[in-house]
Amino acid sequence: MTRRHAKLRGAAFLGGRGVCWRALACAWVCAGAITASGAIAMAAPSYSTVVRAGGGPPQPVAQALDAESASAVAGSGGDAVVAAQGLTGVARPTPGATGLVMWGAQASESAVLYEGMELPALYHQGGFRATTGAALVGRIEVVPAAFSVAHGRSIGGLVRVDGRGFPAAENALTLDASTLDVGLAAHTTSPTLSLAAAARVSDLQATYGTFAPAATTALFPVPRYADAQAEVSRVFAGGGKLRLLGLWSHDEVTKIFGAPAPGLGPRQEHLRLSWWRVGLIYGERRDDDGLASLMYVGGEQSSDERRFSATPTLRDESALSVGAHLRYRVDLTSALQTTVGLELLLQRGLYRQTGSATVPAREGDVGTFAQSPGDDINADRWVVRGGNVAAYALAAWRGGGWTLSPGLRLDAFPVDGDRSVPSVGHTPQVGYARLWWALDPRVALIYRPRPGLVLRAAGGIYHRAADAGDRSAVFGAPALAPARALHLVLGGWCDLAGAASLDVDAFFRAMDGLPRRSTLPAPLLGEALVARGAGRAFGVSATLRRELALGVRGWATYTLSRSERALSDGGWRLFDGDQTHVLTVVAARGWGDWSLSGRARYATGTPRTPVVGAFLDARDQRAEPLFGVQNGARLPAFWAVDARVDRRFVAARWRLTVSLDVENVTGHRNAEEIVYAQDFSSSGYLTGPPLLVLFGVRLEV
Amino acid sequence: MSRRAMRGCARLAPLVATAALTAACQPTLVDEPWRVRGPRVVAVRATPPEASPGTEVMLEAVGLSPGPAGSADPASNTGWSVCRRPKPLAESRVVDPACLFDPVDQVGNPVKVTLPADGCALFGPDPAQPAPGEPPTRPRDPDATGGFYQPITVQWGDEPTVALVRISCDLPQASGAVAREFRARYSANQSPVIADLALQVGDGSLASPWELPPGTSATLTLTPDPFSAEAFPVFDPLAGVLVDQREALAVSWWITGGTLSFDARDPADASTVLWRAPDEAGTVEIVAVLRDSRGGQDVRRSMVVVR
Repeated sequence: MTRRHAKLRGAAFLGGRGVCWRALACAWVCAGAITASGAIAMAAPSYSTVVRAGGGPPQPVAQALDAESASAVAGSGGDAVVAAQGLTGVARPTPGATGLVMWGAQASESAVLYEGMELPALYHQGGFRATTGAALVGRIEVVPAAFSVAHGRSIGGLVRVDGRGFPAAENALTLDASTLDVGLAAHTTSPTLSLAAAARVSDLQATYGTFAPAATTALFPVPRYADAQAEVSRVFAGGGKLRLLGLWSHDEVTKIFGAPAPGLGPRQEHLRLSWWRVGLIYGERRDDDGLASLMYVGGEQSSDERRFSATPTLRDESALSVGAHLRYRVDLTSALQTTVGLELLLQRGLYRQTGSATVPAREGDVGTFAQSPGDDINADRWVVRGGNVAAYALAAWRGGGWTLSPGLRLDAFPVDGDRSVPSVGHTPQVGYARLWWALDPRVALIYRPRPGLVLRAAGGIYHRAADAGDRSAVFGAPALAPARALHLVLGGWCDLAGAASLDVDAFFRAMDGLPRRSTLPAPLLGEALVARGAGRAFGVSATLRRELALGVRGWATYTLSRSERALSDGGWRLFDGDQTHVLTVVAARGWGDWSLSGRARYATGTPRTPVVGAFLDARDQRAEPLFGVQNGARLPAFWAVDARVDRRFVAARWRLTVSLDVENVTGHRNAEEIVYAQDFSSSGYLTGPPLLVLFGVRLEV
Repeated sequence: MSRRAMRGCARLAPLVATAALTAACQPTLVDEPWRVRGPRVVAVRATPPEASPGTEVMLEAVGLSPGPAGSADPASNTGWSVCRRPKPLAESRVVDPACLFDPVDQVGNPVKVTLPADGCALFGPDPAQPAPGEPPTRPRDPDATGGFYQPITVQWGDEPTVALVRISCDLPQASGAVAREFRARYSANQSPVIADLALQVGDGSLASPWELPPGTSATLTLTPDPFSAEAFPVFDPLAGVLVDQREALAVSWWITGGTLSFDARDPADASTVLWRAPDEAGTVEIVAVLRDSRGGQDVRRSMVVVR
């Protein structure tokens, strides 16, 4: 079987014997083990990885999930992108997290793409739902590290969300209602034209918000969110496809904390984020070979307002971005394929901040939960124009069971701003302009010595420009250089006896040039942040997939890792999101119109800096903590068991699915934060929900 | 709040059966920051409350101890150290914690302390002149009232206390005209004044000396002098102009016995609190601290005999 025969057209099902978790890698290399199918027929969640594999060389350590299968995973709440939280190498998200921590890189160091368009957040506030919606999502791919030169602007991992394809000549309307939100989706297709749209809005205020006491919502506030997606696509006679995509997302949440001391008002934090993207995608051929292009524009607005006693803090951001990605892929010979591409992202942002320089919190900040920010305040308003222009070339040579994919990416990171130092009186402000270059070589080597065994190694250099929001002359540093990372991965996949497969990867990631706060007692002007942070992460991830007796299928993922950040004195401390052990076990079974799934999770508690004493601030009449070793303690380990049951009722013209998704069925009280008495004389754990019950109804007409 | 939260969670539990979401819950903590559990300094009075660097201020520590009244007043054994270490910009607390362990400069109470002459360079907006070829350093940020403070550590009792004395410095980032206008309009802070501290049982105020039966509930009311809240100009760095502000007054309480309850409807107003006397006979000391937003304080110390 040639590679081109094995290449999957449209949706393909990797199932049965020879299931490969690293789907994309296997789709390319273990072609003989793949069963291809043109349609997804899901009577029950199979947990097999379903991909729409592109024609290019694979991401060596990618994991891809089919949305329809993933949405039936226990704990996903019916949102496929949420199921990605249980993939190998992904740390258990902290409550309310809007991104994924992958192999020791914080969420903001990774990139989130929807059909190639960069998104500011993967999840809505609360972490229950994806900002991309669920109705039009077809596939989620998570690459924790070592991705190819076709992607940049990330020193962590990569999350790719792709739209789904709809069967030809179909009209459908779907109403989705749950205790989280209400959504409506519709699509209509013809052989050449397809229209699809979806929208959903949270109803948590009417469900959870009605009953939740305000005092319990500090860690789990009631978020308000909404999102909408639309897609128009046209297929041309030559096989080319043109797609027009639109995405919109809105989030709003208010966190209420107690008073820091008697006589002071309660602390409040109000967050708001809205963003949109409109993109035009053209693919010359359906299998992603030939010319593929993407152009998009987008905007985002966010605000973070905190009222912590006498220190109000406000941060507003408003940005417009234009992106483009042009790629051409061609088989030069039967054994050699080349890909060249150009990528462009330009952004213009207007930022305003008043308040403490310690807001917003950054990785490495030492503090307690809901601690008031510093009482010294300042203000700044700054404009930043910047972005990234990149060119890359990627080759893939195959022969004798070997696949070698070397690539080279040249990045330019231009930036200019209106203020290089804080303004003083009527002195004319002095702007700045910088240009950084980066050359990133990356390589992936995959070897298949025999059927059922794949060995792989990958690595490379990665760069990521500093956030424009960090380029304040007062609160940040206008001249922050891009951060850099080295990724190394060594692993393999093997087909075990008994319908099982095992995937193992050892990884190492080193990062430098990370923006961190200046630790100097007197920082230089315009250098409240310095690009001198460094980090390292290493460990092993493993995935075991097995078909059990009685038709039960399941997988188990385990990651052993350690992630550290450099201290200013040369030592190392634990990364704020470090989790030594992360274990997830998923099992599922279907009976006709019923499907059952269960999930068990275990994760080491994240690090915390212990409070070892206190002193009194006599001016404010408030106790302040004395800290021990930074990240010298951990929260207790997290564990939970989740269950989900779906029942489908099918008639000639409609289909109704009723689901019940219960997280933490044992009611175990997992510690999520440490809270202290106002004088720090005692402490306790703020625990997560004892039980999270999500009831959903989905009607498809 | 913690107990209320727990009760809220208990109310919420039945909702699980109706397929609603259940909430996270806070632990039950004994949250009594006003209780004096061991000898400690609870307030520091500075006279004057705002001074120029290099000048002298009188500092008096007010201490309390849960033992017999007046048994452990901070006096000759009170240590004072003047901090000369600015806190890093990333530090959320009011002082670099290393200053808490500085060697003692003076012993006694009250003491006269000379503020460091370079206070506005260390803790204010006047960064030291850079060496030739070196870039300038970042001026320190003021607090919400435009003030800069000299930290002074007080060592007495179980926990260290940090006093912050407001120092008069120039405006950062302001034009010459605005700086001149500021100098003309700004008046150094004056400490607020407690006009009255009353203990009420039922409708009647108790006459001094206060005496109560054990377990009695009484209302403590602090009345500030009406002229305590002064007006002053603050520089707005974004607009580049001076903005008039008026001081906010706040009240704190410290007790050696009994229990305090704050008005849940307006927790930010602690001028009136409910005090329940201890069930055992004895003497209870109460310290009320009235403070303004520019760091000035007045302290009233009272004794209640419970029998």
